[in-house]
Amino acid sequence: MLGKLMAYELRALWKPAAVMLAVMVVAGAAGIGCLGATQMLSEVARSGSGAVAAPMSGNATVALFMAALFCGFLVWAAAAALYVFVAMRFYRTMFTDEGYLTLTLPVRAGTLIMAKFWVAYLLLAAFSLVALLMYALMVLAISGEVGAVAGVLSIMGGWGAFVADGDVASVLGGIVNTLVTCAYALGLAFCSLTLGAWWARRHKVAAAVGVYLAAGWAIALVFSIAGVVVMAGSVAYWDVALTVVSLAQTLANIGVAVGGLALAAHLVRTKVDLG
Amino acid sequence: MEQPSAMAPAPLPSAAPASPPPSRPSAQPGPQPLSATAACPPPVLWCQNLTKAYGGSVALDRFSITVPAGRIVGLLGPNGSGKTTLLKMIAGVSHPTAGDIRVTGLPVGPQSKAVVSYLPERPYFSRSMRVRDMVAYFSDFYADFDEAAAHDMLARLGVDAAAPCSALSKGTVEKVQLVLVMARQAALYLLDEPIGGVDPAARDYVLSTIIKGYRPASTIILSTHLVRDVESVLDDFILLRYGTMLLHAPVGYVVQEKGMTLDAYFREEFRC
Repeated sequence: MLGKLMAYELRALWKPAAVMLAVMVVAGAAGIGCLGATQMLSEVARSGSGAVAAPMSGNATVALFMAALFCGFLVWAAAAALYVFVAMRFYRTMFTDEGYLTLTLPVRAGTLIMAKFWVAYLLLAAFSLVALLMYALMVLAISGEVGAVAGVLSIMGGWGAFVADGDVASVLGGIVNTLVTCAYALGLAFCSLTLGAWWARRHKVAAAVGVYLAAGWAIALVFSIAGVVVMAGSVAYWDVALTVVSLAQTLANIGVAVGGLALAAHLVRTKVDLG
Repeated sequence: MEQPSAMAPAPLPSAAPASPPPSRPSAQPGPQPLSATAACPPPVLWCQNLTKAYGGSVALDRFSITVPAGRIVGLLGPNGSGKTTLLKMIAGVSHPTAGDIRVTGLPVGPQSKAVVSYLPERPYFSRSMRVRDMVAYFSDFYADFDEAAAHDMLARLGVDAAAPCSALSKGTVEKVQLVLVMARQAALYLLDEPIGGVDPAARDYVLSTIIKGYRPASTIILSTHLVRDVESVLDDFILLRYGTMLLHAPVGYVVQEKGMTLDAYFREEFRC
């Protein structure tokens, strides 16, 4: 049954996902092109072709850079749109009128939720990795090192902070962190939506968003405080402490994902009533 | 207002249907015992002290009933009497505050859902799916679904299987949903207002579809306000008011004891 449910889920998601992926790739390619052109204009200006060329290339550089930033935003927005889309689909198929079809299937609530989770997770993880790749290529377009695989991988080591030192451990750590963050985000979203559907009498989606934000902030706050405390007490072993905090946060994110999905399944099985 | 003669939980005064529809096999008479034995299968539906409260409001209050196989049961009552709440709990899309439900001896869950065919009062189609996709969906998930019968019924209704669900009219959606539900060989059919949204001309088709879906091994529970339209197909009826069962009896009981039709009895009982 899990396979059948996943097949139907994938069938429902592949078209919008393909559109968003196309947006992401086109925007990424455009951004790379803009940044590459920026690099070329800078070199022209540096080559000293006169007092007229320099201001023109300066204006063009700014315009191209702004365009590249917009393209970078589109890459991020495409991944975010997929996330919102799968969350909305989860809510719609579980807790609105379509829930009468979904929740009367002869399958366990946990199976229903896991089918939705795995399909959403695979898509979101793939999108996140593609987005990282796009950002990496954009940065390499500026630095002029396109084709340097090691450089690409090093940049993939961190989402927005392109400061990775390029070693294999940080690259793998970054990829694992991205994959875990996807699971965390989906687990939290599914759990929040289920809590909203169960708890709120009206404005269930607004309640779910409130739960999502509150839980997300609470988790972030707890780990920020814990991280600061651990790091402050480990000045002499800074690197070790950083590794321990990172590992603990990754494990906690996995815990949030698993716990959120388990809670969602429990609520669907025992508490949530369709309106 | 005349008080009902049997309060919940009411035994069936007479289990033999007064006027069973001629086009279906005779119903299995008499109530079944609650417990399962080797010689006696469990009743298709058994509810004990079933209660559903929303905050301080009680939608269903200590509802108890035993429904054997082979019956067509009308679930009757005015708006807010708890009909939909009861069907939703049996179908597993709502959860009782208290009490117990057994469907063919099974608690509500994946196993019971495999033998319950539920028609909710709302359209549940995904707008992105086509009618044939819905048929395939039911065929994939329900082992008792007869795909050929579904396509046959759709063809007789003139519904294009390639049509997107989003393009269907409200009445057509209800007909397609009924076809999907009745194309299953389920033990228990739960039909919530199956004729409420269709035009009078289509009601005969809907009712004949329901009767064709009848099998001696299965039970059909249908809720409706349109008592006159369904009276002829019912074996028994359950009368609900404010979440309380007033009466559970064969249709013939009203005719014999009250000297009136079920529709007339319903109107008198719930006159505003």
